[in-house]
Amino acid sequence: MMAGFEALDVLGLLLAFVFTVLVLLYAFGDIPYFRLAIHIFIGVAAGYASAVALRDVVYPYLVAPALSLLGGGTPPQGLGWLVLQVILVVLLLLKLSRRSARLGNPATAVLVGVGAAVAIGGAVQGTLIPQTMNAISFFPQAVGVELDNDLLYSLALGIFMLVGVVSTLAYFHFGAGKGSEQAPQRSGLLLFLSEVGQLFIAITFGVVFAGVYLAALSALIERLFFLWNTLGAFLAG
Amino acid sequence: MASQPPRNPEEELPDWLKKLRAEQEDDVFGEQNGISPFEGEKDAPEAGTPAEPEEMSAPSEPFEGADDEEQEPPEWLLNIRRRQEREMARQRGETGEPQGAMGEGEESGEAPLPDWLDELRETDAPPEGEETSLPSKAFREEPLPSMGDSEDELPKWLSGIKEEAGDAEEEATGAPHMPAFTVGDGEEELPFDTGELPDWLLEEKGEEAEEIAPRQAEGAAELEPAELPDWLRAMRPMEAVTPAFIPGEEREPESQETVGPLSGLHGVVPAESEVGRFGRPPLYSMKLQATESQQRHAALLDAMLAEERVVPQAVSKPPSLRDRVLHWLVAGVLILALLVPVLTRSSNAPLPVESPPMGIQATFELIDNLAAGSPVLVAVEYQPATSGELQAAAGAVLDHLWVKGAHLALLSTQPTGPALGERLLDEVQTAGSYTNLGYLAGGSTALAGFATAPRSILSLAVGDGSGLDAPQLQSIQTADDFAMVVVLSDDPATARDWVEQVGTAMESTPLVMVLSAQAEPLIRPYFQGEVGLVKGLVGGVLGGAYYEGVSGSRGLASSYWDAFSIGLSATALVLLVGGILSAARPEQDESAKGKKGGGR
Amino acid sequence: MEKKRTAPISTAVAILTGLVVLAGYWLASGQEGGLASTVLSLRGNLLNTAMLLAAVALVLGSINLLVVHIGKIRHGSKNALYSFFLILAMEFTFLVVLIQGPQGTLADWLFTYIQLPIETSLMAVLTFSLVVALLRLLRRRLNLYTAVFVFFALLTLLGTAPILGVEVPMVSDFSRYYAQVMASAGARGILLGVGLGSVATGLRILLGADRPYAE
Repeated sequence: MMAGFEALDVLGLLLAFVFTVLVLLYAFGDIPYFRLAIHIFIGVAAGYASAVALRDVVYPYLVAPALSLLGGGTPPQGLGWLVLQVILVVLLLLKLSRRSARLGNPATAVLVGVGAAVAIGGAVQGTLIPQTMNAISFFPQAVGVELDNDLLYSLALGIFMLVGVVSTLAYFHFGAGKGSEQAPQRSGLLLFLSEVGQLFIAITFGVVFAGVYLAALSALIERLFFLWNTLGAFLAG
Repeated sequence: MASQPPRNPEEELPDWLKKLRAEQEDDVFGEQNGISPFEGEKDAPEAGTPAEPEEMSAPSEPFEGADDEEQEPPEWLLNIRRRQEREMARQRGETGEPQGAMGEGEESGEAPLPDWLDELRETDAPPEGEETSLPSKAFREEPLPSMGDSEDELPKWLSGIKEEAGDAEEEATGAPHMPAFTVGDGEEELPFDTGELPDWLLEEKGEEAEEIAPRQAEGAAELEPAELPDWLRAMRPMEAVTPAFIPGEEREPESQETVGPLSGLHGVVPAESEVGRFGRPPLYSMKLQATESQQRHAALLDAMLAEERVVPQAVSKPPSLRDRVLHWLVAGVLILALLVPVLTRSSNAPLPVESPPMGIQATFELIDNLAAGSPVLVAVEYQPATSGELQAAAGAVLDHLWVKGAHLALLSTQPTGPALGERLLDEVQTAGSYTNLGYLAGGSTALAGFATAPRSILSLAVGDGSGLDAPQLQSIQTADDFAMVVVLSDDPATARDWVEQVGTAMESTPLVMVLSAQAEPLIRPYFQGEVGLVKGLVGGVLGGAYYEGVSGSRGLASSYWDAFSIGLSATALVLLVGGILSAARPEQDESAKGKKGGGR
Repeated sequence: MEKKRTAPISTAVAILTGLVVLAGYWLASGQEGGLASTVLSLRGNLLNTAMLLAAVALVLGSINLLVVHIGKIRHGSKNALYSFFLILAMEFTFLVVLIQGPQGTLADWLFTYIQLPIETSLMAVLTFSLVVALLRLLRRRLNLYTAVFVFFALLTLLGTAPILGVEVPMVSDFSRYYAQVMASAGARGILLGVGLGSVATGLRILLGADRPYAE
């Protein structure tokens, strides 16, 4: 059996090696086997995800309590909630067919309503209030504090951060007043702020771009190490 | 007009006309045999000679006043006679058509015709050579005019009527008008006057009408206008005082009959009355009266909305040779540059150890202060694609946690999270205890529930099947009960969910983030500032290398560091060379190319 | 003309569930038997239900993928062979993981030697594409914003690791500290914008103005 597992591992290593080479060769041109590798990957990924969802969520939450109910037990969430969940799951499954898709709307509505509330609560508590506070937190808190280098630095940094935040938000404001006969135009101040905001956005996206490149480079290094290690293992026997 | 087969004129004559002809033939026969067909008739005009009005005898017996030859004829009759003379003179001058049968009969010296027949003859007096007597003309062997007949087949007396009728139709308000009789000009006195021919006849006999018109004009020039009494003048229809219709003139389409058996002919009394004519009621426009400016704005809005509806089709252009060569060059240079440290496993590049960033320092201090056996939640929120980088970044952190004796609880909102967590812990050098809590579906929704009630939301654990029932985790009722929460993520949105849902629910438990280099810039604001929901931040391979330097361990980050350094150097070299070449030969914009091409 | 979508029942469900969950953010827990605990209990159950429905939705997505590729095979499209292999891999993986679990031997094998290598390799190929993209950007006539973008991208790359084994102090310091701080200003603005957008979108749904669930 151990030999079987070893053989499976060897086969797996060989497959992983071949797939890695096929995908890396895509940098030099599209080849038919690359598409085959991608399709196999998509199939494995989709099958894996759906199986985990069924096994780790649907079965413990729905199937097991229903079975225990049939066996005389009590579902953890209560009978009413279990029945409601079964109904909603069945309605959601009806979305598969175009004719009965409308019947699944209430189940989708639960998902959407809950998701919207979670988004609002999280955004207000986790982002809007804290980030607004942080935007002015670089400024000195006490008035009348003696100016020194650290304070000046904090002041400069605070102004910089505040201008950056306000101008970035101004860039995404596209409301304009009614013009006479010409096309609507934003006010002069808003236009200036949005230009400044574009600069800050360009800085941020430049740093993000570099981060994406670093992540991709890390993956390339990891794959090259894998290829070399696997080749070494095969050569070593 | 479709040609019709030749018809037998005899068969098409009405019965009364046939009878009359027969009688006349008998009279001719009788005259030849000394029998006079008409009483009161003295002389028959000779062939070719027009019948003089004076030669017209008194009306025949059946008519009143037939015997009263001695009385002076009424004025209207005189007018008729004058017109006949005029007609005969014109015909004599134009053609030399032989006369019809009756004409022959008359030429043979029959008894003079009754007046009413003379009247008929006057109006249809044939030109010289043709039939000169009305009756003979009336009984000419000609087919009656019909729809299919050509214009040449219409008798002249009928053509004249057609002209008159057409003239009347033009001037009338819409209803064709055919007066019972007209007085005034000689042309309009007799019922069968050629001037009163209906339009449809004139149309079909356009040539004949044209012939008649000059003859009428000539005739009109010879006659003196009659003086009408007032009472008669009042009765006169409008067409008598209006300019005469010029035959041959094109009729308006409206005067043409469109229904019934007479459809296509002009000057016909309409089959349907104007009043009773039903048609489609007029349509009134319901359109809004919009000004030009409003229409312009509406068009602008419509164009904007149309743009939203249109799904832009992604035009996939095949890469040019230049781009493909560039791609090959870049790939070749980078792979060759990276193969050197990979094959040689070199470690020449110095690790970053001096002045580590604040996020790394804070993380180290937080972990260093953990008590042994502390439950630490590790959220594995990255994809397999970035597993290499996150393993390098988080390896030293997890190693430090196990060094401190913490119990790790793995959790993920990604389906592949539990498996990645297991692989991650396999790479950690130090051994320690952990519980894999499995997979939570729903993303931020699941986190919102986990933050406040983890027990009610967690499924059975993967692995030992105890879930939160493990001894180290029995005290966990909310997320705040953990000693620390460490989130490993490559996605800024997922990391933000943890901050918003779990970070806000924890008051005393620190939230530490180990992120991919692509997510760190967007999560850094949560770390910076007074209200920092993120207490520690480690980003990318650089952060892992820093942490290894700070913690004194050697992990994946250290083994990747040389290749990392050389890879970045190669990248900088490629960009430098490419930038210099680009500065020497900048690529033109597509719009600039188009303008240039258009200008030529 | 599009048929007007109303779905009053679904709208009522979405609004009610949303309001209950939203209320839980500001209600203090702990008080037994009170309205707050009732609402919090209701909120917990709704969140569990939403999690369950999300898992079912994921399964539905996989079923839809299956149906699409079965259709491609049926219609004989030119990529039908690839679709066949996709379906084969999907069915096999699904059965293995469902039976054994994600930690099973065969499931782990599939994940380790099939999914992980291909997905990581796809990320690795991105390296070349990003460099080529930056080179094409350099080839074009740069305006101010593009120049700033390229400058800070290069600065971050050069400041991350030593260049040819030599660490340039000014570059690395500027990159690791100042650039990060400067980028945080724009990032904070972006985060605030995203937060405001989330709130606006969520409120539209809770007020019934947006009904993405109605068909």
